[in-house]
Amino acid sequence: MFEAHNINAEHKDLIHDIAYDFYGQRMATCSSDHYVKVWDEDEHGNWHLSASWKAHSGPVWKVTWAHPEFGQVLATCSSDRTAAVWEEIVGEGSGPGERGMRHWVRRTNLVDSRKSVTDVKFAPKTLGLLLATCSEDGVIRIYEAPDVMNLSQWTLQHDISCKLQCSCLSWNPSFSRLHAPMIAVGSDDSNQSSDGKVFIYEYSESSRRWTKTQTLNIADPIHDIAFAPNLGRSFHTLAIASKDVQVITLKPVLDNLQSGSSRFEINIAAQFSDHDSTVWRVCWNIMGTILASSGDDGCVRLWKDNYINNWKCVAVLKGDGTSAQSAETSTAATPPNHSTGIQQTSSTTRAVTIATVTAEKPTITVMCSNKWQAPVIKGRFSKSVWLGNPSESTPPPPPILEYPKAKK
Amino acid sequence: MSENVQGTFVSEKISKIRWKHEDFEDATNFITGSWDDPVNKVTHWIFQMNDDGESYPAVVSSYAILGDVTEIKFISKDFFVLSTSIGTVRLLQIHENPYSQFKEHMSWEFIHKFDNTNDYASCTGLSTFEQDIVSVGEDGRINLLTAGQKQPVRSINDADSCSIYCIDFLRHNEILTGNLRGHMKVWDLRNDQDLPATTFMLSDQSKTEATSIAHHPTQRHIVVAGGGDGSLTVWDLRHNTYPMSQLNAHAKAVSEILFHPDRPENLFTCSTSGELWHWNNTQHSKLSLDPTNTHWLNTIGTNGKVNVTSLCNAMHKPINSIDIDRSTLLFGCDNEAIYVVRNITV
Amino acid sequence: MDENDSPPTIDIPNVPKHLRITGNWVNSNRIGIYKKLAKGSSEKYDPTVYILRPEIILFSPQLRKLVNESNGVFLSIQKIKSVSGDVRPELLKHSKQYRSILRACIESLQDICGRCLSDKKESLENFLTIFYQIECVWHLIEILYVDVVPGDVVLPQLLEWIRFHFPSRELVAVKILAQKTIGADLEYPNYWEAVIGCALHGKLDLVRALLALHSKADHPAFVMAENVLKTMPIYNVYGGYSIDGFTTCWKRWQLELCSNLNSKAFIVDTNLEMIMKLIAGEQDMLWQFSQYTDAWYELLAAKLFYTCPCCKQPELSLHANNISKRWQANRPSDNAIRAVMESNLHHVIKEIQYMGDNGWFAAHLVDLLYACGKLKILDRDQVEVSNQLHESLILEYGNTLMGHHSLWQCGASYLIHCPVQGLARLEILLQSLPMGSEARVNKILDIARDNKMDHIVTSICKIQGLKSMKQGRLGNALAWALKAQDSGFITYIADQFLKRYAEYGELDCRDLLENLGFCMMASDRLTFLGKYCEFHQMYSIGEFKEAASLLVSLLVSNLTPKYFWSILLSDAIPLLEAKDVILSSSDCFELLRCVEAHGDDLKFQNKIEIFRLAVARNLARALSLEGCQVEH
Repeated sequence: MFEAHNINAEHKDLIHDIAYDFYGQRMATCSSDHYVKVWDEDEHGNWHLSASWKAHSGPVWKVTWAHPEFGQVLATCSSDRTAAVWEEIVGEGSGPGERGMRHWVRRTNLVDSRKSVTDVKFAPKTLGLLLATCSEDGVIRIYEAPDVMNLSQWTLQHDISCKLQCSCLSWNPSFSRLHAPMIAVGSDDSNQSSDGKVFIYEYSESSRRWTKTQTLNIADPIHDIAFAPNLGRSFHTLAIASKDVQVITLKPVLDNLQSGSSRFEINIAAQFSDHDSTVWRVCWNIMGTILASSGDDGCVRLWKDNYINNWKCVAVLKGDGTSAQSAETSTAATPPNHSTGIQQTSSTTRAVTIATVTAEKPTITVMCSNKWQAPVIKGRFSKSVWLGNPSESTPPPPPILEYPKAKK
Repeated sequence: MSENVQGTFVSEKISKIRWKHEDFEDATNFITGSWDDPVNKVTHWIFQMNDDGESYPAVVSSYAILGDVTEIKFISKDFFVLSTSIGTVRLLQIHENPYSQFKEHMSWEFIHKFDNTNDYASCTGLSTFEQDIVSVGEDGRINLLTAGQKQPVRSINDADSCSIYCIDFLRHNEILTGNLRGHMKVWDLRNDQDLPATTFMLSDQSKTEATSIAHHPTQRHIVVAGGGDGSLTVWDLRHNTYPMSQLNAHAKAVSEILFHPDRPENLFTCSTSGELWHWNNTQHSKLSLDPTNTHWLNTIGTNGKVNVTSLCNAMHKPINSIDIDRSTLLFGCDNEAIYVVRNITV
Repeated sequence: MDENDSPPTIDIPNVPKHLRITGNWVNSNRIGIYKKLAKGSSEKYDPTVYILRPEIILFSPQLRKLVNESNGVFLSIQKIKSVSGDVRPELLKHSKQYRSILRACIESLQDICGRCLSDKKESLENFLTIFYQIECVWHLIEILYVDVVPGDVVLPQLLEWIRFHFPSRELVAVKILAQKTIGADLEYPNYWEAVIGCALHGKLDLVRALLALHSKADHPAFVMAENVLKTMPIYNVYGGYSIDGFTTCWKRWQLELCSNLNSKAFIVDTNLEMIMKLIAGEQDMLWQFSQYTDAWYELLAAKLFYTCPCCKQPELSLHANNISKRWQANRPSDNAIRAVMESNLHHVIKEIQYMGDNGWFAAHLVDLLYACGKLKILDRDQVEVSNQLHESLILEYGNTLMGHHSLWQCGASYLIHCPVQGLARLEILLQSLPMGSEARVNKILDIARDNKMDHIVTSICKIQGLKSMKQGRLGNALAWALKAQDSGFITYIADQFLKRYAEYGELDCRDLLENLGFCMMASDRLTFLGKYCEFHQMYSIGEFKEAASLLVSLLVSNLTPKYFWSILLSDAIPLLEAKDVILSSSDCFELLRCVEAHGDDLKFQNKIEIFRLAVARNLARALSLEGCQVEH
């Protein structure tokens, strides 16, 4: 069984991206209507709109949260050729209604791209406050806020040309110091002739440069890529959405920095064409144990590997076929021309329970209970509940060490 | 495992457990408060006999509480005050007529809050003296309440720059607070100025938080405070604010300190480390009526003759709260269970 | 494990089929779904976001008891693992404890079920079914894998297992017997059913007692039956017989019974004759009686009892297979039980994962078997993967619990015991726990500290500090920054204090700043702030000499932030002008050097002349005083 919660996100046009904060308690949505909205979940699982503002002068493609150590910070990118960093602040003014109000301010506008900015991602926090963007002009840009407490100063640290138009990028989130910072970039260039559309870039501490260290041999347009958290493994895991879903593992090969050979031993851990058509998004859960892929077939498929690294589909999510129009209309929708400030609308959420329809093998079984006349089970063998290891005798308390008695 | 420990799983983490004491007989009723669920509960329990002639706790009634229950204190036989992590204090009664249920008599809502953001602040603790209640919170505020009045009698808004974690009434006009940094402040309530009468440190060596305070039931100037590092510090506030003794006790934060109300030479402490200890000193005659007799806590630093026994194996989850009635002790735990320890020798 | 299973499909209401939807993870177990229109679609766009989460039955209040109590047993087993020597008896105790918990859970479910309304009842009955089956399978596994069966003859334990789980007919029998009515067959319509039920379970004493109450109990046929039953040899490991000796004896007895049957000795009553045929081990009769059983393994026990009483564990598989096939049993618990009897643990684990208990059973059972050294799982290439399987199941279960607002502490204690990936996962999950009150934060920090995750401690403390800052609690923010030991952050907060002082002329949080102690050294800026605060403290209590020397040491310390120079220099003026000479000549030279280097601040321009004059006057006084002192 699954429980579902509906939220009317009140966008006037297509939602392009949703991002959840580190705790899964805040949701940012961005849309073709140029707006970004932030939603907060209360302790009862209801989502409330807490802010809505016109963030760009074109469709907003992506929205992403920074690590909470940097505050409540979002980055967005848009077809208006800019990327922006936003921070939520608490009003310090003394006027009525000003004090205590939270609102989002634009901390910086990154205007270096000459074409639509297609993706924006914060680096893992161990690298500091770093932001990478990629755009249709085929350039990856890395920005840094040298003072993490001051979000309005960003410097363009690197621009890396990758020649093909870029559609997506992903930082390797691994915290290990054993390998260099790493970014994967995908291109949705439709020219089949090129010899690969996923590029791995690594940062060299000695040369202070990003260099392309690997090209993955996938000729189809790439729509999304995502590194999984490393979890102490010896290899990196990258999910790729193109005409199918692929999970690639990259195992660093030691001691061949100089030689021209490959930096990684590359394996396809899984490749699925179940979507029967283009796959648009891939997304890992926070532990990188389950991959969600979304494709043109109208399904979201969840993939998971087992203890011997066999990947398989564990669930398919899809529409039940009823029309969207029958959904209840939300009350107190927010007028979209309110640019900033909070509008405490009443919750527009609703909870329903969805039964799982299973094919062949029931995973969630409701067994006929009449066959099972459970005997009247009376109690337990031993009357006591578990306190610890019964064979263990009570250990004596540790000796008390005394601090020197304070002077009088 | 000792035979006299009996546990009951209750499907919620217990933050506070309190006996409902009776005048001339053993208590059979108690109250628990829970924490960390979206909606928490305060529950009234009674010990009943089951078919096997065994006494076990059964629910009498429950009352939903928004936020975590952070403290429960009885102010009379059936009235008690509780505080929550959403900054409220409530006065409830165990109402017996026509059937047992909770009745709310007063609710001080939102008395702990962050002025800047208008968010609620956790009320971390409260202490009572007859009808008077004093509450403290993460907003560094002290609120003085009295049971019959909706408006707080007094609020000391900037009592502390840091979160206050614990509070104790030393005398009717004197309170002691402890904060996140281990700052202990004595407040003279007769003084209109919002400044503490004295400030002293839980520990000079480490800046650990003060997690709980208890005073000796009859010699109220003897005060024990527990630290986030598991230490216990004892003061005799008649003399000065230098600690009489400091003990490295538990492995982790002390969650509660409890003097036996009738036999104060017995002290009980529990900890986040899952330990539950009974401290007493057999050297001193229990019948001693000598008023100058100093409590063993005062001299532990010099002669150190004290018995410490653990009343049960270390639990694998924090023990949050203890209470004792005569020889029967209750404790509540983060493993969603309540335990009763019977026949404690005091 | 099995490649052919098709995954479950979850239908999301109010979403048209084949509409492009996109899924993003919320955290570890929730997924947010939103719609994307396919190109050229004319439909009006619906901006609804759906957040889906799998329903976890373990989170229901009735089952949380089970979750928490079994956590204690699990942790106790982890301690045993590190003990050397024969731990099997200890583990058997733990296995029983697990079952005891299951039974308590079932009992309390039965209790509640009887008292509750129909809408809830259904789910409670579902829970009952699930956990009842789990207990049943666990019991069998305990017999076959955990317990040490004397002589490896498993039948006595199997019969006990069957009797425990199918008690209804024995209860009927006991009821009939309690009345002691002669002619019970006429009185009770279910008389024969009870006799057959008892016979199937091998409860021969009950069968005999029932037959004695039959209206024709005095008939020679019944007397003979009584005699046969009384003399039936029952194998007992401690009975003094070897298995061979017993088998000979038993075969002789069976032969005699068969000849009696052949001579139609029991023909007087069909039911009696049928029962005697069963007892003689007739295969057909067994199947005829299958209508009186609820599960195939009930029949299996009867078959073994009357045809193969010395059956050893390895032979069980064949019998089990035959009967379950003919029975066509295929519920998950049927399959699991068959797999247990076939000693195919791999299959058992697979089947129990279909039981709908969110992995409770699989995780705890596999852990127990692992501790017993009974878990041997090979992959396709015959490589042993028991460790991986064991860890993956516990990880999965721990993860599930970490997803609950309150059970995260319990979940963490499972992850800690996964040597390969456990800590890496715990690290991620601990950080993503919503923070709440400081009491909760302190408990999260405790677990991080226990596992030596210093960077997580730092990170959480820093986030808590940021939260305090937003709440306008700068002092508390500093306290958390100090816990985080993040000098950059401490410097930032110290700066905030100093800047506020520069703007409003008031030092906030004096109670904290005056009692920093050695923590003051955490950052240069904080040292400056702390010392400056001390300066004010000294000044306010009239200790001007102390104050002055503090001020001078601050001036020469190189710790002063640029924006604070004008304040520091201004603070010197009243000390210079004091009645007594407080500052020495060398102090004055320092002051002059500082004002040359840093006195160009605009805010100081109106004071610079006064300052110079004051220094000059003080210098003169100081020099003359010092001159006098030298002479003396």
